[in-house]
Amino acid sequence: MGNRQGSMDNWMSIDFGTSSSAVAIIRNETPELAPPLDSDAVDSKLFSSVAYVDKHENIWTCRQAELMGRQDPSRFLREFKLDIRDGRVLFDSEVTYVQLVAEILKTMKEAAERFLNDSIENLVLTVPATYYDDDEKTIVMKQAAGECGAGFKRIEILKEAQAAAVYYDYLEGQSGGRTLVYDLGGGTFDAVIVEHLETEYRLVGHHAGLEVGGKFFTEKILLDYLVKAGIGRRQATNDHRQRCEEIKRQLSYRETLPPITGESYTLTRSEFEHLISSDLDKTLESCGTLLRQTELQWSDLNRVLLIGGSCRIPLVRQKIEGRLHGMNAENTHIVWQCTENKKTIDPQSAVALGAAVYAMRKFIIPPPEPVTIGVLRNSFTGELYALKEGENVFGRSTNDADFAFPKDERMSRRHFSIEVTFNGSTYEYRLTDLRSSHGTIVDNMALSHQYTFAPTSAVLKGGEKISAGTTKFDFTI
Amino acid sequence: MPEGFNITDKIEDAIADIRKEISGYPSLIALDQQFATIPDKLHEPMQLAIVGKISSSKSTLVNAILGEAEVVRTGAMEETWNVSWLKYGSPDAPIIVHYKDADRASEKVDRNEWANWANRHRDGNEQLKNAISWIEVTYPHPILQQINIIDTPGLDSFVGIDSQNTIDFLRKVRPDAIVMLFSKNINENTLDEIRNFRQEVGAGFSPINAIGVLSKIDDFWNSDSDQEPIDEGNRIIESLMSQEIVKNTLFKIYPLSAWVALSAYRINEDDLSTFDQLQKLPQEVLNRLFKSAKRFVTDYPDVPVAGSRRAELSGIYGRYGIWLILEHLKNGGSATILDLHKLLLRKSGFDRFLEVLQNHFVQQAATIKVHSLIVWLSAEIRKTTNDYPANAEERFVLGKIIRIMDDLVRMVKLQSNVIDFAKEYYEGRLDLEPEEFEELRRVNGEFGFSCIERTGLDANATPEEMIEMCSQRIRFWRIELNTTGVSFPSLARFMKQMLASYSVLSAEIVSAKHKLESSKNFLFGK
Ligand SMILES: Nc1nc2c(ncn2[C@@H]2O[C@H](COP(=O)(O)OP(=O)(O)OP(=O)(O)O)[C@@H](O)[C@H]2O)c(=O)[nH]1
Ligand SMILES: Nc1ncnc2c1ncn2[C@@H]1O[C@H](COP(=O)(O)OP(=O)(O)OP(=O)(O)O)[C@@H](O)[C@H]1O
Ligand SMILES: [Mg+2]
Ligand SMILES: [Mg+2]
Repeated sequence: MGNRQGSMDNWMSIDFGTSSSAVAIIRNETPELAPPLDSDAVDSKLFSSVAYVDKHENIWTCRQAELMGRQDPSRFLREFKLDIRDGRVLFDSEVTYVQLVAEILKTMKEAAERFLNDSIENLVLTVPATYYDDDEKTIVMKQAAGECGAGFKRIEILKEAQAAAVYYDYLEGQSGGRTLVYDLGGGTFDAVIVEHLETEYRLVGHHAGLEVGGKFFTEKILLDYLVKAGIGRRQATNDHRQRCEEIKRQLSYRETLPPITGESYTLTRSEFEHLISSDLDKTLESCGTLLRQTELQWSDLNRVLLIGGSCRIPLVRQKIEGRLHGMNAENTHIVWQCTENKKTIDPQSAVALGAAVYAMRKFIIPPPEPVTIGVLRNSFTGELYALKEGENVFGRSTNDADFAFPKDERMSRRHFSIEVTFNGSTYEYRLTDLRSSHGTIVDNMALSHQYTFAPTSAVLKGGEKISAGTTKFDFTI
Repeated sequence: MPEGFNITDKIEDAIADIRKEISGYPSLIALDQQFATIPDKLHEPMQLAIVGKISSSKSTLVNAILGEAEVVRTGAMEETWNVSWLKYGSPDAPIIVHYKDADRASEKVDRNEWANWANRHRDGNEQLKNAISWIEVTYPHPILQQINIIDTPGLDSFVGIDSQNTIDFLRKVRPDAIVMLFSKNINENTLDEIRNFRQEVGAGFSPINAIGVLSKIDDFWNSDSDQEPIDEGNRIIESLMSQEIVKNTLFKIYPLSAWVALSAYRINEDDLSTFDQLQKLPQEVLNRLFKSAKRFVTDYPDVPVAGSRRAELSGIYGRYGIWLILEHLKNGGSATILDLHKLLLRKSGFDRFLEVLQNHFVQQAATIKVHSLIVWLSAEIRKTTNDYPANAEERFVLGKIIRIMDDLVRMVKLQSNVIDFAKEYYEGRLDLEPEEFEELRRVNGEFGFSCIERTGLDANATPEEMIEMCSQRIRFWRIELNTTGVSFPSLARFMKQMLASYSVLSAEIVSAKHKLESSKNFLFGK
């Protein structure tokens, strides 16, 4: 590594959702959503998480599967994310979940490669906070993504909520503090608290799996519609449902619906809010329980990050605002679509984009900047520290160090310096430990004043890994 | 569970199959011996253990279930100092004391002598007390014919040394089901308690065989508030039940006051006339009385009933129980013993609990028993796989057995889901057509467990017809799931259950058909 981004280093990310999935790639050090190959509209950048198994055991995925499934719903599979296990998907077919998921991931990989115009070998796959490391679902997903499945060489698993937090930091800069990730999707609600530390995004706790979400909201409209239109439940068609879904989405942006000819049913936003209010209260109770469990107050949260498509409903934000107000947590702000810098956090793609950023920072060394003096790069956050000629001091102190890391408690006030000198044709670099308490490690060698025989300084040639306190750096020329 | 072929038979068959598989392998003899004990165990009554912290009302609950004041001892101190195993039998039969030391013979103590014996042991002799493993008490309540109830000493904390006795016992006896009691200060620790309990006693407890109780809800009551203790209890429970660990462990948690429930069985004519005197008092006077426990037993010139008599009543009904009765009478409610009995059972939350105990545990005793045995057996098999570096052939057999067992677990799980669906359906929360509900019950064996009864075909249907019928229903329900289920996601869970039930059934028919053919070949040749 360290050389120019070759195809071996390409990463993509997949947020595999119950109803739809989002895929992201990295281009010019920027995460981008990769749309399905067959997406024709601007707003259909998501992959539908469905599959169809035909009589010859061929697996069709995503949009094609949807078309086939409409013809023959008897071999169509949808919303199976939570059913994934080490076994067969249909009773009269040999196809397993590993094979099925592998096909879906392949479709996504292909679309992403086409979009990037390069091959992609590595994947960050996000999973709900409830999955354990050796969860059957995680194992099946990993197998499906691997060499015998979709063909990824490296597969990293990241929790959905962590990915969302990474994305927030990507847009806002290192923010620190605690984020409550409020994920209200199609069928489930997950609340997760993530702590932004210098070296990791720590999962503080979660309260997940509440069966509340967009599809149930649409169902409530549909039931209201059927009663008012005097149609029996058995007579409800897919058309009716789609109309209700559209009504729901419209009401996220306006108070009332435009009159439609030939349609007597109408619903106002406040009537809709009345239908879903108690469901939303359950999500807040869930958050309350999570806070009690983690012994935190609402005011201990720095922000509530709204993700999942159903967070587009304005009442969601209002309810949370109300709760924050009631709990004297005025300093906790709600991050919803637009952040302060007017950068958009789209609730349905934040997880995939965040996972891409995670890959970029953790696994991809950016191509060297066109600078003549070498740079230190924070291995974790990707932040760059450009060295200048002369002495460059790194340490915890904001006053005494040129590059300060006040949050790293294991770093000494002045920890190490890099002396940059010009010899006429090239720059030379010498790293010296400044009598730090815990020493400085260059590759595998400890520089320390504590031990008689330990060296205290080293010449850097480029490509070294340096660690001081809990912070790690890569040095590149 | 209906007569005829049932789930117990099904398990016995499977066990017989498994034993046949194992028989050629000397290294699997130990495992085979475990399997050999199963048929007997299947026919024993189900063992239901009542667990919870000290003074959480466990013994009171046991007495309330039996409708009798003191079958097991209760009190403010640590009253139950040994595991008491309640079985069906004469109320006069001696109490049998079993010792931990396997060589020490169990001892019979006459009922009349019991109080003395118990006190002597409890207070006098720590050593003797610790030597006892459990005591066996008989009582002629019909519920005990189907389930034995095990009253346990309070778990001080689920990990403390004092609780070790109970934990050791639970590990050894492996009750088939538990009722777990919590008292009012449910909090985050409660979750840890459940987690620890599962760790200590084994993870064999799941919503199939464990229910929770939030006890002593009469403590939530106060005379100034309109808030019903049950509602307050349910509020606390709702947030607790949304926790993953709770959902994965307990079927549900019921709020109740065992004390008030027990008093429902103790109403007598004397008390009725005292209640009548009291209910005639002006409301202000009553309000004053109910303000505090102390005032309730104080003598006042304007209250005709003596303080000591009121204390006596409050010892039986609790102030909440008395308040309920007086409110009922003041509002012109009927004053028969039976009506007041019903009132107390309802308001104490006990009737709902009892209904679930009946429906979930008593009726499903066979399913639950089978489930707990299977979970235990699966663990034993896995242990065997780890313990013996069995050769490839043995490993193959073990693998086969594990698959049979996993299938059984899945089948039993499907069966127990039916109870959940039934509950929702009857409460109007699951909008099914009556035929759909009936199909759900039928395919899960509620009208007879043989394959043909589960398909609902007539008696001369061939296995091929049965298999064909299953695949049609599977097709039907998959289509339902992908059409109606999209519009009405709250029905999707039910549709998935139908799919799974028919898949299991179909697999069973295929394997039975296979067996039928091979025995035909064996009897008559090809
Ligand atoms: N307020 C109220 N008190 C109760 C209730 N049930 C029991 N109690 C009281 O709580 C104390 C303990 O009751 P027990 O039934 O002996 O409790 P236990 O859990 O069996 O106690 P140990 O066996 O000692 O662990 C006694 O003083 C009872 O009177 C109830 O429903 N409400
Ligand atoms: N403008 C909108 N207004 C209201 N709801 C919307 C809007 N846009 C999308 N939704 C809802 O968002 C839901 C999909 O959200 P999302 O993609 O986050 O779910 P998912 O990740 O597939 O599901 P889950 O989180 O349950 O696994 C759908 O129910 C959809 O109706
Ligand atoms: Mg989601
Ligand atoms: Mg007791």
